[in-house]
Amino acid sequence: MPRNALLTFALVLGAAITALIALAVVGDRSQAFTLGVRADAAVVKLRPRDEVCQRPIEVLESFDHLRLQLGTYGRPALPYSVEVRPAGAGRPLAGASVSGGYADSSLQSVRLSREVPTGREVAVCIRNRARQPVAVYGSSDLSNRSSTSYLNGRQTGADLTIVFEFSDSKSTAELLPAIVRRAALFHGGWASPAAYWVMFALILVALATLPALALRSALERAPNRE
Amino acid sequence: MTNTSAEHHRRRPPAALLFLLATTLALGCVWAVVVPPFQAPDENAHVAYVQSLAERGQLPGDTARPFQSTEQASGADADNADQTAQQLFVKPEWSTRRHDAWLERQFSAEERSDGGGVNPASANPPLYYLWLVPPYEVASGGDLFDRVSAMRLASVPFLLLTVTAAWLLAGVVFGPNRPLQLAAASVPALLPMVTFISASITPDSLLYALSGLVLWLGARLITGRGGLRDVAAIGAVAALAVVTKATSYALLPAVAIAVLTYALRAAGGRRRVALTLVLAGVAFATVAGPWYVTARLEDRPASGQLAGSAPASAVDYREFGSYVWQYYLPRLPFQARNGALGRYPQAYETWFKQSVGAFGWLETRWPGTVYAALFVLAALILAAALVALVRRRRELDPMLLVFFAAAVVTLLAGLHWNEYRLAEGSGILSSQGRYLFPLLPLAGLVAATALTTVPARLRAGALGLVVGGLSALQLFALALVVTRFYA
Repeated sequence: MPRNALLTFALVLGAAITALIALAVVGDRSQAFTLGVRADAAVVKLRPRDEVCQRPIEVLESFDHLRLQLGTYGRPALPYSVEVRPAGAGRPLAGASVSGGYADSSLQSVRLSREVPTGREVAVCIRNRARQPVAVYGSSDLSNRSSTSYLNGRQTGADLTIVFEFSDSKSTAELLPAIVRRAALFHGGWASPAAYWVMFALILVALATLPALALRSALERAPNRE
Repeated sequence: MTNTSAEHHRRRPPAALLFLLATTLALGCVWAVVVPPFQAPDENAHVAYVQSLAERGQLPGDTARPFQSTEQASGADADNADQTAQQLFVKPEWSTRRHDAWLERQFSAEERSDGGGVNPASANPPLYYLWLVPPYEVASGGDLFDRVSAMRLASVPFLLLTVTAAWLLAGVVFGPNRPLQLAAASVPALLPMVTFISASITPDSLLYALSGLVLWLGARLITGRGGLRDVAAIGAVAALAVVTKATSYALLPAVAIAVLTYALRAAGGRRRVALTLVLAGVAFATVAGPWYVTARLEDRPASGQLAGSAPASAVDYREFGSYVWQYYLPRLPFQARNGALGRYPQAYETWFKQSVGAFGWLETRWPGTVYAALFVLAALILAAALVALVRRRRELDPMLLVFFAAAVVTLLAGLHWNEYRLAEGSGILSSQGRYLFPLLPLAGLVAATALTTVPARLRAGALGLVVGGLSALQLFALALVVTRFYA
């Protein structure tokens, strides 16, 4: 009798592990990281040649695309440019010019001229190249604690909605090292990526064996007492 | 087998239970350190409560003080906790640089002890929080997050107690039947939401354990397996529950039914009945009394959230009835739509969906089809359990059913009453699926009862399916939470 139970248990759990692996391998994730700012409203109005910069932003993972939301006040797509610069001074790290092809107040993905590598502190700047105003979407300044936006150098009191993406989308399996590294943060001095790798491995082994042992014991043991 | 070895064997916990508890412990520890700090319902408020006790030696709730200490506010800020709560697109802090900067920060004793203000947990009784003071102190050489991890891990033993209570309750109901006991105990042991909540910092973990013990002791009393020791125990455990969370008052009618049934069924006449009731009352008062005295001296409500809402006299009972009706059933033509209720049926959203998967601050969910599939499965299990009940109706002790029904109905009635009164002012529903988890051992009984309808030759396979299915759900839930916060 325990054999049936163990077989069913192994089949169900095995199917679950296979499904998880399949999901982890085929899944495509294009988001490198995000400022976590919701596009609540048009928070900055860019007049012709105005520039708004969100800074300082730590590049947590390399990226070569940005996702932004711009409004054109009902007009067709208006031209603008985007630059990623060092947060202090220095030459631009990457940029892009957008001349059209987007709808008013729509989320759009902007491909940058080159990849911005991990580890730098940068500013993402949006410049209006049109003769009409352009609105940049975002939310309150509390949305992202470590950076804020500046319109022509003056603080706006708002954060911009910016999502950092990579063009070669990655599977969850490829992201595992980063996932484990992030999970080990803010859990105390004992926590390290190595400890989390060990823990995740152990829980897989524990889930595959301990319930099976419980099943075998429950079905085999003759003395049945409360 | 000699008498001594038979006695030894009898006292030794069953291996199946021990393996299940080992699984529960492993899962609890993983959940405790995987979920980002403060990403469980009201965890920030519960941490602030413990910190107030540990650092100031005072209960929180002082209107002149802030919600939390400077250290906790800085920690939440460093980890991006407040922004992440309930917002799926926001992640906790991923920057190693900012994490290291946080570790370098030192907080003075004053910055750790300047909390203690009013927060959503400050009206709670103190038992659970007192339990967490020693682990808080043990980890106080580290940073705030060392203490959060230590407190979460210190909550996991309550989950083991909940699982044990479910096992024991099934033993009372089905007799010593290991497969059915395993099926019953697997529900609290392996249901991911239960592990998630019990491995976070919340008095709910202790509440579930104490409720489970109350259900087990009550069943023993009603079935005649218990004695006066159980009467004293159920009074004391009910009191511990009341000193843990106000929701526990909902257990008291069921406790009264169990004690009364035992007293009336035991030989000894009125004197015995009186003795039993006095014993239960004294046990309750001895355990809960000190808290009532303290609350009185501190001029704070002893019963937490039960106090402070609108007076009962102001409640429109017809409207309340309409709200409860619409919670479960389609609105009738003459009923006004209750504005607080969401899409029909609210019971599915709150009780079911949030019980099987609403992690973080309820925002981390399964896809809709998963809930639908799980609901069909749960409905089939419930239907099978009802069939089994009908088949075994002649063997059943009706008072046991009355006892269980009292626990269910009183808890539901209390939750609806509280939610209705709060919604009157705020227009927002406050109940969550986890509020039903004090009834987890009964859910376990339902699963085990359903198993009895499976033909004997297939029963082992069905048990394997239950345990395997719940284990698989655990894996998926961990993956869901890990990817939500870290991918």
